[in-house]
Amino acid sequence: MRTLPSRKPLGEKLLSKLAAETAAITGSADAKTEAATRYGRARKAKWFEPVVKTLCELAGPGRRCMFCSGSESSDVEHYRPKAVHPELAMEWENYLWSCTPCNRGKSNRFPPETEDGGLLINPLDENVWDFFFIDDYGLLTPRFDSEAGVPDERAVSTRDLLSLNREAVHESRLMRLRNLRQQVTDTFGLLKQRKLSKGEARERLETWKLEPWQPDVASYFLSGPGKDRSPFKEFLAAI
Amino acid sequence: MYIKSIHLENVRSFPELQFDFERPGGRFAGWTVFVGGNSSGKSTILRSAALALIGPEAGGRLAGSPTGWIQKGQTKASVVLKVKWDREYDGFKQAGKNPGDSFEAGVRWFLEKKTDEIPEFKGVDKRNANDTRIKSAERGPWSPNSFGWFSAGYGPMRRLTGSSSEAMRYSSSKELESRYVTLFREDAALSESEEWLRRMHARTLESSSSEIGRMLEGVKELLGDGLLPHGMKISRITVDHVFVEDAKEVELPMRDISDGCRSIYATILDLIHGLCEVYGANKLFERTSEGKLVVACPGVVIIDEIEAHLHPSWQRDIPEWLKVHFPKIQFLVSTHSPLIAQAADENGLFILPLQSDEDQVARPATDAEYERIRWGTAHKTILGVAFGLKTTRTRWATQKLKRWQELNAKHHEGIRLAASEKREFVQLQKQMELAFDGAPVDAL
Ligand SMILES: [Zn+2]
Repeated sequence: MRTLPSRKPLGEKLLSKLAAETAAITGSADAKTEAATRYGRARKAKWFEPVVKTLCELAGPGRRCMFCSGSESSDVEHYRPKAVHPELAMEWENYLWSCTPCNRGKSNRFPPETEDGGLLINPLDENVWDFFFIDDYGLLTPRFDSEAGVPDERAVSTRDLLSLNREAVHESRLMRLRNLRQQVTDTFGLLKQRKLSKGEARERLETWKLEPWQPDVASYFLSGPGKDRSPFKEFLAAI
Repeated sequence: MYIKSIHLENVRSFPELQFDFERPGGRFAGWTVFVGGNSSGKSTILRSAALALIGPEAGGRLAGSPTGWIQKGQTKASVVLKVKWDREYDGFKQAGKNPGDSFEAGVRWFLEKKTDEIPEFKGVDKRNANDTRIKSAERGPWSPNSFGWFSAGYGPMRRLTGSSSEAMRYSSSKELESRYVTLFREDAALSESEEWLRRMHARTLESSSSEIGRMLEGVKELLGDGLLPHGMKISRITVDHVFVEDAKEVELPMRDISDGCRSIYATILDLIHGLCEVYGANKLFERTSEGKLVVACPGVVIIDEIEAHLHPSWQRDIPEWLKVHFPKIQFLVSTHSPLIAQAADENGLFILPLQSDEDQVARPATDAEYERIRWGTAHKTILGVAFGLKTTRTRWATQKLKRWQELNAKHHEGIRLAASEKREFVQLQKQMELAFDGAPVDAL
């Protein structure tokens, strides 16, 4: 999970094409089959490409999965499964970008026939740091809901359904965190010794923010609530 | 011969499956691996290939009852191989037109009537344009009297001793199925090969057959070439025993060495024995330009769960050893071990999903997946697409990590921890350093 830019509106023409597809689905006697067929066809069609392109732009450098930020290749994902909500199969607001392992975790344990995925946090349309923080070991941790006296229910179910701390992803997150911490510490040191100007340090900061390697770490510690943690806090205050 | 491709239809859990085994450059020899969980159908693919290689007659004797092969709700099933043959090594029996470089060999199961319980088990009928039956398989690999066509199969329970009497009858027969007994029967052993070695030895004592003597020397040299740990090698063959000796010159009978050693020894000895029977003692060995003795005969060798009884260091080394010492053999193996899978040659890695994973189908690994696996560590391979583990930690440790997150989340929000929670928190904090190799502030 990471902070993503807000969902930008698609062009009029594309939206009306999607709306026409939706109308055909909802007008059909067997909406679920119709949705599967029409989406399958669209995913291979030329006219649908701008949808994919826009999602990739939102995902940012490396086109990393919007859920886990891992390195597995990703594809268009329906936040609410099209088998339960055929009327949302061709709805822009329902699209996310997710990797195969996350997608599989979602569909396996949220049988699309019965569940609508509502307990899943939507990384594009919700503020993910309201629900998660990244701890010093790189574990994506559900925040504690002090009113309920338990960790946030939706965050816990999201973490567990998608296995957001599965070893492959977590190891990469921990490595990125250790690496970023080291880079910040080193740069801060150079800054204090006046071997580096503030401008140069700010340039480095921008590079780190755009680095596609496990970008949730940079999102949390360089732009999110993690800015308060040492050594990021001291460094960011100094530049 | 080599298997170019396999096609299954309605066999057990596979509605349809088509795998092509050709490597870049038109090669087939080397290491081809099937990975997948228990009940993912690995053994089904290997046994199907075996049955199509030896045909319905020998296959029928070997597989026993033909029930259970047809997918539920279907009335027929088939497995068809494209077999590539080698003019130098493989010969056809009886007169007839020989096929081009490859031909089909297939077997099928079918219920005559839907209500029948026991299916028929027959060869797949293949006809040419004039509606004449093509008998390449019957005249070639399926014929007990044709020359060449070496293939063999080994199951996970292969061992040197302790065969049931019935399994024994199969393994000591001269029929095609004898080289596949352990693949189909858990009660079978590979004792025949040790006996063969002793018989050969006895023959060199009776007559001074230099051909057999050279062959025995070859066997000793091959098995002594870095296969067994601690520099173990065959030291002596007597009429009663085959003796193995380690680097400290401690000698003991082969049947008394550890399970892992024995299983590998028995399998490789059986392989040499089989190849020797098929191609003859003088065609068996060849010396490479570097002076290494290798078995240079072609053929197909199927091994189910090759890692059985093997220490991880052996799992890592055995594929390489087999590939170097049997450079012309096409190995088709199944495994649960990342170390075995990592040795796969190009276009030689096939992923079988669990039966519960309904949206997945059996497929070859993509080039990118294959490259990742062959360059990767066992740890990464286990977590990757071929094995798909989410974690390699125990459930206990995974639960502890979740508990840590819970307490840390409370701490993170500035909520006071109760005294007992605090103690647990402090302790877990220390243990996290064990779980993640170091304190959180550690640099790379
Ligand atoms: Zn993901």
